[in-house]
Amino acid sequence: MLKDVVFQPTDTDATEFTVSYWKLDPGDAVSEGSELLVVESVDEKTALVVPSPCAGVLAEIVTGEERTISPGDVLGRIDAQ
Amino acid sequence: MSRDPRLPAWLTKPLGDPASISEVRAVLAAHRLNTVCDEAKCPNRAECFGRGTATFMILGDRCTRNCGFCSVASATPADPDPSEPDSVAAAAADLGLEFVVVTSVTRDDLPDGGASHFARTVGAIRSALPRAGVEVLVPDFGGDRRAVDTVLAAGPDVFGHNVETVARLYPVARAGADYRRSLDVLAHAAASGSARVKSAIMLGLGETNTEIETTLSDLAAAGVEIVYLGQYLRPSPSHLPVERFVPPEEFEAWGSRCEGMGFAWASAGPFVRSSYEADRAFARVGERSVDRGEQRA
Repeated sequence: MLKDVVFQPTDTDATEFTVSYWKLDPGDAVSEGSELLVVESVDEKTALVVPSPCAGVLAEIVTGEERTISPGDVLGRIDAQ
Repeated sequence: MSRDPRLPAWLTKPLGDPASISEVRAVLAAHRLNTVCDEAKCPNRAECFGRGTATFMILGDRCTRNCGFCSVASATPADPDPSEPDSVAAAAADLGLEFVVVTSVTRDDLPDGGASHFARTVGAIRSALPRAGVEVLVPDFGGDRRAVDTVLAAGPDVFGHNVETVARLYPVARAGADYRRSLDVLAHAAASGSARVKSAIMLGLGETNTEIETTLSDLAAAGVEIVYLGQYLRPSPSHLPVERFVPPEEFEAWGSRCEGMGFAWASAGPFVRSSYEADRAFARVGERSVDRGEQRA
């Protein structure tokens, strides 16, 4: 079953974010909480590590590097196991 | 191929739980208060809000100065809100704070620089939360010692004023401020003996190690007991650029150096900000009770 990795920053008042870089590639195994990717705020003050919502395999990178993202955007998908 | 991240790995934080900050947001909104956490786009905001704390910013959200590192809006401020001291106290009570930190914009437009407003705010907090510690982080009041005395007379446990950077960088980083004037504010507060005196500097603006050392020596000589060092992060492309990301081990070395220079407490790290975990620093340093003649539990 595919599970979305949704970008949900703690503070919705935060400024715009971009995907900085993915730490894993499609096909890599993940555990719940594994560090998937780093996003940075455009104000250059915050870099956040987005964790995997579940264990499984990184099935797909939906939002690539340097793409601008908003709260609620799907960043990738995990093939949950 | 991945591009280079703008921020080094040691400046990343885990994504938090949105639900964890809702209580603080609700209290701030209910009392219509500003925080320096939001205005300065602090990277620790989610963490601190998640712990149920925030640093109140009084005297409005517009500053009469325009420092090159700071994201607080520079514009003509509104008149101070006379109900703000009670609102801060009520919010602190709602949050159940045991240690309350209050800062402000710089108000060069006010005759006392906002000192009396600070004093009223400290007084309101004392009334609402008599057992809570109170820390103020004040502007330089234009070097007006009477304004400093006004704040000190209200009895804050910690009197903070940040020199922010080394003397050479004042013209670009703190236009309108004066390094020696800030040291005088700190020295005057320390000489009063009524509060722990605290200051902070940002690293990464282009200062040299020798200049950092000199600044720390100046702070120690002024009587500063608590010193914080953190990484400068640019709040927008129109602000001063980051000249260098200082590695955590260098911050650690500066922290050790500070302790060797006689500071009672030093906190140094990439994410250290002047009010970051202020309660813990104060708890470690201990309370000076000579003036109020009492010891809170």
